[in-house]
Amino acid sequence: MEQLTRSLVNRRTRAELFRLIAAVLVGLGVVVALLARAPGVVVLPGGLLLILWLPGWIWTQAVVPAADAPLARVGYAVSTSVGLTMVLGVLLDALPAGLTRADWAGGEAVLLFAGFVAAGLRRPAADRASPSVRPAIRSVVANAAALTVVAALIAGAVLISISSQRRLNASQHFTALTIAPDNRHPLVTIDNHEGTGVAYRLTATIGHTVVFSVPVDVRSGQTVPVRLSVPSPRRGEGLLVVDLDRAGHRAPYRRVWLHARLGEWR
Amino acid sequence: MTVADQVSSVPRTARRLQVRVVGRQRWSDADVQQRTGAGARARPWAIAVIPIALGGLLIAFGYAAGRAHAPNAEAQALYWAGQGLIWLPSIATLLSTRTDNATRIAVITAVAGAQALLTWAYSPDQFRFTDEFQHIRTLSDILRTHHLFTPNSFLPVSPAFPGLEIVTAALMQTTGLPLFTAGVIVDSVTHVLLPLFVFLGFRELTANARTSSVAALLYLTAPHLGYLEVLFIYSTPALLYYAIALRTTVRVARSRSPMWTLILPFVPMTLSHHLTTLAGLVMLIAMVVVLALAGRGRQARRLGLMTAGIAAGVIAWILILAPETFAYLAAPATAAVQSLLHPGAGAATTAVTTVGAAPRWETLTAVVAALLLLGASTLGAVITWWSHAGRVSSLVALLGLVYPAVLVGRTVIPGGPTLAARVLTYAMLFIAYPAAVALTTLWDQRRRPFRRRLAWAITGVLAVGGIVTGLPPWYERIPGVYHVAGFESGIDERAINVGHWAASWRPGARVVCGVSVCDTIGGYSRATISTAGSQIFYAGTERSLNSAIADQVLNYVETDVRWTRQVPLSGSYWTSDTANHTHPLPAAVLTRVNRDPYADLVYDDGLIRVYNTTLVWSN
Repeated sequence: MEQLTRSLVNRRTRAELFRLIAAVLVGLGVVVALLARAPGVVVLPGGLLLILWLPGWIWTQAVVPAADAPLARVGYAVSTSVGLTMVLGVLLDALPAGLTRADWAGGEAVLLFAGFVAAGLRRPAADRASPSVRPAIRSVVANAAALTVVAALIAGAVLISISSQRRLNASQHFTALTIAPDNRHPLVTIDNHEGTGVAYRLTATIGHTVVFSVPVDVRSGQTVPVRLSVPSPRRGEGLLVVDLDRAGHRAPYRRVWLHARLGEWR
Repeated sequence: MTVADQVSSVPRTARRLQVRVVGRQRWSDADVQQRTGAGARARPWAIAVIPIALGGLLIAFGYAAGRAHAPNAEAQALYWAGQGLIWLPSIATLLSTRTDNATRIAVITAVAGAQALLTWAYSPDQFRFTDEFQHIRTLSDILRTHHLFTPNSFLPVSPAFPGLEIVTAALMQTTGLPLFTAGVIVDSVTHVLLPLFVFLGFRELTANARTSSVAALLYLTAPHLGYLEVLFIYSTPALLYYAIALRTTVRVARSRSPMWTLILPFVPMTLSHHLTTLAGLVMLIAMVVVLALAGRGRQARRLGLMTAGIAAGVIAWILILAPETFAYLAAPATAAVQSLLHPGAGAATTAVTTVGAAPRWETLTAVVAALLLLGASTLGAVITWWSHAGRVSSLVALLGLVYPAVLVGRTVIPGGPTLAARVLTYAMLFIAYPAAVALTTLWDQRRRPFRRRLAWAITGVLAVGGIVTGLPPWYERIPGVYHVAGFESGIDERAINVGHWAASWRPGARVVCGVSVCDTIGGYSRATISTAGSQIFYAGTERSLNSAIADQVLNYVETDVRWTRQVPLSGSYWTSDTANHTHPLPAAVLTRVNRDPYADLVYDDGLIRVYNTTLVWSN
């Protein structure tokens, strides 16, 4: 610890030391938020930072030479984070609990701390950092304005893509009827993709006898499960037919059926 | 000379940046020039990104037009106008000698970003490509069991290379993001960084930002880089580490990085994708040969030893966790070798579709692009060799001469176009370098505008060539039209719905289904897709139908009324279909299944029906 402290103090500039400590603290804050099951507004950016940036950035301080191009360091930070997460995943797999949220949090905390130690111990003094440049205000403003335009164009592309795909999906207009076997109470589901709410009637028949009939209103996008109550098949044989009728359709709109097996609807 | 003196000595255009250098270090001219782009026109780099983003917007409009079933010509016009805006200004910016480094990096990463944006925009609500469903299955297994290496019958080698799924699972579990969003983020981030490391790798090699940036852009024109390698498939993140391996290899060869750093990119690469790792090893071997030929025998021996060590680790991983990988990779390799040894045995074929051949102009452009790339890479290798650019650089440029071999394979081997496109994902890294040398040499900034236009046009043709030979194929380049047995075009809401419903099936349930529905069922459920079950649809009688179902021990059979209305795109309705359908399926085939007295109809959406056929063979 003494060596680490001496190394950190001697080899790092104050700004570097501050950034390293800040990165570790932010990372540990995210870890605590994950373990405490903090709300999404905290966890979403925190998780992105923890998986895609922080461990890689800290380890890059230890491994990538200071003289390397700044953009290379950014690229290494992200790619190292992704690579470390892969290795961490393989290691977590060896734990009984495996890849869970808590294990990710713990594993990333260890990565952060180990990276902090490595950055302090391994890297030689930053004797040849890249020259620092400060572009003109005019250039900064122009870049900011251009990036705003770019962001607006991308946002437009995103909105158009999502809305057009939604319209295409909604244009399919279908309802799926399914049945899952169960002796006395087969489970029927009605899955509405019509783009509008529909009033259906669900009817179950055995032979020519109606054994179950209910009206079912299904909203657009809704899946309604209906547990049928039907008698067991006689003499172990029979056919249970379930029809979904819709106003305006003479034939059943959808139909599913089950055979009796060993005296049960299964 | 002080730092201030050095900065003031750079051309006036660069000083417009009003560079302020802090610290008291002394810098070489190269340092200052590299950082400031001295000699280059310093302009706000983000402005160069605007046409690229505008191109993305136009293509999104084109996709929207396709989804709204607007006339195809309208959607196509928007699509190609968008591609033009993405590529043509970018090519001019990178070829120009007046562009500063920041703008170069902004442009190449923005083009990769546009590719990622368009891949997402093509299917903005969920993954739709066949291979993506195979990896959804592996990811779902990880999320369900919290452990790796659960067998995946949909793609047996996938669980042994879980890099993509691990990172996506980590992102999902730590952020709460849904699978699709997390997967798109991982794919996009890794793809955007890809050309950056190609650029940095070639800049290490050449110390020339202009050539390196053009090489990075040319790499993005490889057929699969614009779409397939941005999808949720295991090679997408692996490619990033392939590019990092290039840079690390060059740095090691230049003695700028210690030898052990080569291991770092190979760890995530091995965890992610077998073929990319093998390509990375080939790259190392090539560099060993380059160093040996360059007269640096000691360094070559050391790199050779390191390569052997990395290869041993990779082989150990595959032997222990995925021995089936060898057979998986050997099958196409054996077929390729056989066809080379016996050229008359099979001719190269393009993808056979029932929607006709690709437009003539696309075929022509692909041929012209291939010839131009051949010429440019050969010319570039010669230029590099004669310009005394350095032994290592010259020899690396010679690696670009692998392209004629790719073209021969494309022509001779059955399925050659598909295989060549796949190989180019890796080989293009080396072909792009000499081609970039040729194009930057051709571009003459001071005189001869004709040469500038020629270099610009050639690069444009290469970009279009990459698009027309890559994915999505021409018949589904614009989304919105449903095709039976199409790739993404066969995955509509109905197919997705039945896939989600099948998630409740017991693990290992055997199912025969149409190509597209098999994708969703294979991805969302733990069912086993029968690869021989298509025979049941050729049964002439109810008895032979039930006999085929019993032979295959099928639990479920899926049918689709649209099979009786459309011919399948590839000629096959089902996986491993033995017939080539040129007419829609007779309705009697579906009726026969529907009337089977032992089959339960358990799913009906009006077009797609699923029958539980367990009773056929269990009694």
